Amino acid sequence: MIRLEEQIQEALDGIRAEVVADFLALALPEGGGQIRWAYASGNRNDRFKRIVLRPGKGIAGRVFSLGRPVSVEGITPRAGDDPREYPILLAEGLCCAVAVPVLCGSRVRGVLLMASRTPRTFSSSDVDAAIGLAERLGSVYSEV
Amino acid sequence: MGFRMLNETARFMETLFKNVTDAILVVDGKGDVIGVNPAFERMSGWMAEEVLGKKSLCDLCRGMATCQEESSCIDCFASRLRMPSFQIHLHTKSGEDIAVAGSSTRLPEDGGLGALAVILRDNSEMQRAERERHQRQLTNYVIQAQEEERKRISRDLHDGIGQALYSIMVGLRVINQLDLNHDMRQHLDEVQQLTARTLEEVKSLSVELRPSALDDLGLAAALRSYSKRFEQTFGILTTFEIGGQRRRYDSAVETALYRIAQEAMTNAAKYADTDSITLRLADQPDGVEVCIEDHGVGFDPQHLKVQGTGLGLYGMRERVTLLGGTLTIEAAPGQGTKIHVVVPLDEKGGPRYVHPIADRG
Repeated sequence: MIRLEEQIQEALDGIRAEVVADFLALALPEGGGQIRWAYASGNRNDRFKRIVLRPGKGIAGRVFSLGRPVSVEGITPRAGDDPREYPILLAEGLCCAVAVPVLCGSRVRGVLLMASRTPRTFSSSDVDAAIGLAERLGSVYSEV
Repeated sequence: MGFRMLNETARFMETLFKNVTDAILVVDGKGDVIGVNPAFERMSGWMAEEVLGKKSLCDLCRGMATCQEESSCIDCFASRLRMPSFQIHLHTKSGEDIAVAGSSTRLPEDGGLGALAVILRDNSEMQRAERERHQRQLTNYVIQAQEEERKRISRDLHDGIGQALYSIMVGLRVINQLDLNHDMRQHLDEVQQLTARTLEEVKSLSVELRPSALDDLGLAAALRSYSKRFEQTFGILTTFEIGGQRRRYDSAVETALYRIAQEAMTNAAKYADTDSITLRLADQPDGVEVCIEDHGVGFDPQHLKVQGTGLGLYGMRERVTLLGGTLTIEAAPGQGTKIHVVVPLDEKGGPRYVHPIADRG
């Protein structure tokens, strides 16, 4: 199991270097059913570890309940908006993100987030790299 | 004897005209200015020699304020014998039009139109105070209406939809006890999970709108669970400290303090980029204090670069003012932000200096 954790971390670091993204993270449900960011690459603090995701809420939460990729660009806090929609972006100072589901069959097993601290539109090859990793993770979790 | 009396009366009238606080403007039957007193000079900026015989009433008056119009010449006071109270816009020398209150009297004269005496008084300060009072009343009304609505929807969600979902879950559990084939059981598991998740969502929606703990258990309990939810939402390490006696306060006080803490902490999450935040609730014999302190980027309160409408801060201040309390902001770039609210209370936990229009319910 230790080996698997190391492999996942290496895979995240690898994709981050490949697409030159600032931040990559993987959210998974814990034993108690709470969904948390279990892995991160390029983080500047540990706030992500304390965040509990809510299905349907926020970028990653939407991916969880919709089961399809969600992308956002140019997110900055504005008066009147609800910061609960983008807590991971606030924690890491990110403004652009693509989140893809990790699927086991039709069930969403996790969410992979790829994000940038500076304005950026992720190209389709960047997104494909993330989807590729999500697929690999999906097959790993199907076996476990 | 009679002559001396007349002379003294004239002198007295002259002194009165010169020293009275109200501005006096006298125009003749044709509407030309024939007299102004020093108070008028101060109010309008025009010197007597600039207007006497040189200006007419309509050069100085930009119309009356009526309930239909900001300024109108319909039914002008000059066309009446007397008009005890009205408001006109006075055109000053600096080019401004200022709203002043006035009264006018047509002086009697044999065979013709007598002079018109117009007495003006600058009551803009009074009007500003009245506007502010009206504004505050409106804000208070909006705050209360919003709170009532949230309470109602929150209850409906919790007791209505929430209760129904719970019953569905129980029903599904009963079905799960039956002898089912593999496929059916798998479907059922999924439906059960979905129902449980939906119930959770409904519950948290209800709590976010207005936690029932605020009504049932009090401010301390509501703030404690809010702190926990805040930490889980934003990953910001949140410490909740409570000092002094545990007691309940007036519901208006509890609601206001809860909303202020919520707003301040949301602001911290959005703008402070902080790793930790401390929320303190301190009960005192004569009041209650709430303090929200973060260790984030801070800002310069003197040069508040409002990133939004600044309405959040306005709303917090307004809520505190309505309870006769004070809100202070201590912040400096790189030094974090501290928001401190004090509300003086009476022995029953109600606001001590309640704003007359604030609802104490």
